Amino acid sequence: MTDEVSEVRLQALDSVRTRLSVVWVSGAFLILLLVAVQTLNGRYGDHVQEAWTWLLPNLMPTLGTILAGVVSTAMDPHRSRSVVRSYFYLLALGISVFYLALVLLTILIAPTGAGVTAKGAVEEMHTANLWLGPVQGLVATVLGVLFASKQKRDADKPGGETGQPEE
Amino acid sequence: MVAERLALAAAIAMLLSGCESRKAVENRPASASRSAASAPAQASKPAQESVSPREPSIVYEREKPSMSTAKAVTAAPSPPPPPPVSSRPDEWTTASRAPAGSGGPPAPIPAFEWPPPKASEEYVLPRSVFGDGSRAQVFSDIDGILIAALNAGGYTARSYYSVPNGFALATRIEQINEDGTPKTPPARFAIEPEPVSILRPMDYLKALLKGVPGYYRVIVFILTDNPFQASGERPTEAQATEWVSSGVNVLPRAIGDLPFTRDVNCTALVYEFTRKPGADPDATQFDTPGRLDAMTHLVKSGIWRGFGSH
Repeated sequence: MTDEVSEVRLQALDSVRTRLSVVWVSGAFLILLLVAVQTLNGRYGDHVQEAWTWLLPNLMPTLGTILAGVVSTAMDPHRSRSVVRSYFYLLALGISVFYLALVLLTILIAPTGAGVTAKGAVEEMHTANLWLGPVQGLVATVLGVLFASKQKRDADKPGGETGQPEE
Repeated sequence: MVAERLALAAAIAMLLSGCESRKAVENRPASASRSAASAPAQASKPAQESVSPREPSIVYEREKPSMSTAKAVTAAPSPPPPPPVSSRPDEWTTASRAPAGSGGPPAPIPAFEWPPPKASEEYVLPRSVFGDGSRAQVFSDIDGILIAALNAGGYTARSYYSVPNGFALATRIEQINEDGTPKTPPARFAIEPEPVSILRPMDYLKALLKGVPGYYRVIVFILTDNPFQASGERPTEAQATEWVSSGVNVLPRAIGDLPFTRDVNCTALVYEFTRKPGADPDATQFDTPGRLDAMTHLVKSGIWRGFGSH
């Protein structure tokens, strides 16, 4: 969708939310699955609690915000009229991918260094909080705007863009 | 009258001193008398052994200044009695079975725990490893062969201990692969497991999903004529790590001069430790029995090849 006056590229909020939630859910679930397999194989030995204590706060808050926004509109038959600038969408997408990559990288790079042992891996996780914390704050700011803000509904528009056919 | 009595007393005193000297001559050892008798026939012997009948072969020395007392001292000192062998590894003992006439006190050397700690595997090396037996050998000869074999396997750090009628030679604890081959340095002699490279995808995946197990080994060679059973307590990795630094650096001569008789055997005791993938670096378990047999350890370590090149 394009505003012909200002030539600012815009995208429907619903479309932006859908794409960002797909990125976040798939990325977070991939990371959770990896750590679950490691835990079952004894990768973290006696440090399992510490590993999950690091992982869950790094994923669940943002995931919860996203899913809350999706759930709130799940039963709403009306399409949102809100739009989002493409630039902002790309910014949110980039920060989300960057953050998920940092979390995944912390786990993937552990065997190549001091994290080859369980104790070393957990220590590296704690060290990674130095940069994960600030980036997570940026992610929360951006996604909070997209998933938690009020949206315009199309219910007021006569014969508007709803899911129900015109009578 | 008085002067006559004094003169008589002096004469009696002189007479008595003369009788004591005659008695000392008569009571001298038979060897001295034999050497005195054969002195004219053995003129080529060293001067200290030739004795004239009038010169005794024993030495007199005064015990007290006020009295002239004859105290016989034999010319050759008797060999010292063998010292007791301690079973505690932290006690220093003198070298066992110091050969007679070696001269000087035996060098101190710590004693290896006896009986030795329970080993994962053990192997009595065949005598053919140390030569064909055509010439008489001593312990230092065997030590040289062991050193050459250890050098061939890259075991430059080692330590000596005493055991009953022999010695123990301990190597440094090393990290090995699953098949018994040593890891490449610097990981070989490190306790921390070696990081995995991404360029080895299968190893990397295993390390990522399961972690990296640690395998460690210490080899102790024991040379003695005493049959023994390694039935001591199971050692910990920390104790095995100390073996290479708690002994002496070279084999004392007193032990090295001991003859390598047919009763002497060289036994290789292999101590294996395993650390599970998720365990901390200092949480290892002693393997008994070992994952690999002793001969495999000797072959994979490169020590057996060193014996072959001897």
